[in-house]
Amino acid sequence: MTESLKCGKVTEEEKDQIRKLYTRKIALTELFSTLSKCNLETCMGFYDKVVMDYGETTASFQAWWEEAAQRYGWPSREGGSWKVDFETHEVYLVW
Amino acid sequence: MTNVFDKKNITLVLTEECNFRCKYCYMVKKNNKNILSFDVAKKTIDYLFENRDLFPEPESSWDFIGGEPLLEVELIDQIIKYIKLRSYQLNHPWFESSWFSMSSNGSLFGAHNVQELLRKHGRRLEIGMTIDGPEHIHDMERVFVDGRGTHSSVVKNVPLWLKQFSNNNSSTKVTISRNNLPYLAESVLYLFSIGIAQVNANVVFENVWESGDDDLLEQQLNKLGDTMLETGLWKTHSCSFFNDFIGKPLSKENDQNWCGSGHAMVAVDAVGNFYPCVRFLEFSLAKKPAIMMGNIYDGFDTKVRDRFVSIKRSSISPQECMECEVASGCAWCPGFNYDNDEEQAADGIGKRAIHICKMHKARVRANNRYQEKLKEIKDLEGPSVMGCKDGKCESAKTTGKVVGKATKEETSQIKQLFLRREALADLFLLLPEMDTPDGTYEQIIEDTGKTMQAYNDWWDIMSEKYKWESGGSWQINFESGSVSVI
Repeated sequence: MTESLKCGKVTEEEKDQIRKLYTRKIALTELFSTLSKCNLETCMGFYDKVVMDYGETTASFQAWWEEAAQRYGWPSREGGSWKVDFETHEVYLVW
Repeated sequence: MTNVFDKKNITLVLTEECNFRCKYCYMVKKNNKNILSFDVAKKTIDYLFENRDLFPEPESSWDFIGGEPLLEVELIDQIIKYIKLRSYQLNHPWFESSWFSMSSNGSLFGAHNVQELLRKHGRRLEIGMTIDGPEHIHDMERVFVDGRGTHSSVVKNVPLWLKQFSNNNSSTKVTISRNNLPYLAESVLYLFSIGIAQVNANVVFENVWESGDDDLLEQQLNKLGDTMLETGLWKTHSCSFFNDFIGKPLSKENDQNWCGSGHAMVAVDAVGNFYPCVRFLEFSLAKKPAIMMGNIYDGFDTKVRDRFVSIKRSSISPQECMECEVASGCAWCPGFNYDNDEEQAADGIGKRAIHICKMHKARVRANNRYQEKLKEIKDLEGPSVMGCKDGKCESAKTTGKVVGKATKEETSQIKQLFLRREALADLFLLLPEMDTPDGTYEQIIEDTGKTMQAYNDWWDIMSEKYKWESGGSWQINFESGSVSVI
């Protein structure tokens, strides 16, 4: 059973920032899976580029949440994660 | 004004050369001179993409034809890559809905370059293979240029082919001529025995059938049908000679042409000329000159297209066909009609050839017998738990528990998103080997993100709207809209 706690709200600009990182992360996850079909010889450099891109995106995504949580003083708990509702801009702690 | 079909079938004639010289092949003027260049292919693709008013169909199917298309694997690879990239750049609807196919003689299927092609484009590329039956039957017609039989060169590739196309209900096409008619049952049963589930067969349209051939066809079909029914093969295998829908009278309203030549179909040759279909190219015609529909430089000739659009069953068939009590399923080929009809002017399209009339009637008799026996078996067995019909088991394809249904419009939305997601992934995979404008990498990532989000949102909204049972992941059948949880 998933539980959640409302923590606060983000601004329109902040919502856009995290939404962009989120969609980039799911895009790279999706596209990464297709690289298993790539010819190693042709794709070696490209594979490295996507891995690096994914790593940087994930790090930026994580850093955004940590900075926002610190700025707004959102609660946290072990095994939990924050989520933002892109429609209402409300942020929840989910566990 | 023309009807818009769901799919435009575009045939690119890559080469008029083949490593086989099958005795019944309608491509009578094979040569190694006319090979499509990538430059002409690009201009053709650009023309088709940029003239949406002439080619408005929502989907496209690109058929690579020869000769033997697998003689030109590198060209096929270049063409598919260009179609994927160009349709993406132009935001053309065919980006998500382009499918690729070819019919091969199968001898080159195991080659490294063919396997590489499948690795890159396999999700949207289907390769059919032609086998006529066991060695002594296949080799009667299907021979190399030097006359040697080709059976072993093809059959060695069958296990690999079946493995790679197992999801598509492996099928093959068999052409029945006078030579192989006495072995029809043996041939089809042989194909079933090597793992092919579906055999599409037809008798040749040419004026070759003699008195008694119809009786022989009926005997062969009865032998095949009886074996399928006695051994239970009917549950898992099918042969197109047996079908619920053939052998019925057709109403006057049922007046369409047999195929979409010149209408839903367009063929393009090595120099960029358009044709109604491949049967109207010079190398397919024994007696008549080619019929063209313009070219990529001067434009597509809609007047010729309109002549083809106007072909109706009633406009080309003799009265006896219009009044025939077993008309359904009796085929004709506009290309063969054109070549065969000597009374027509060279630019006429031709009356319907009826050389297969007795053969069709023999097929109907055998089919009726088969369907009656099948009904008896089904009645004895009671309701079919597998939902098998005509040898195809629909429910075998469905996995998981059905938890609901989406509307037609909703199903179309998720199908479109699914296809776009796949198309973007396919294009992304090709980036390392293509020259693309700056920003393409970023553009694909951004589009994939938007598509994935829309895709995930669809499932969230629909599952909430219909309260679908969860506990696994959902999947939807794009045909029926049925949603299951697995």
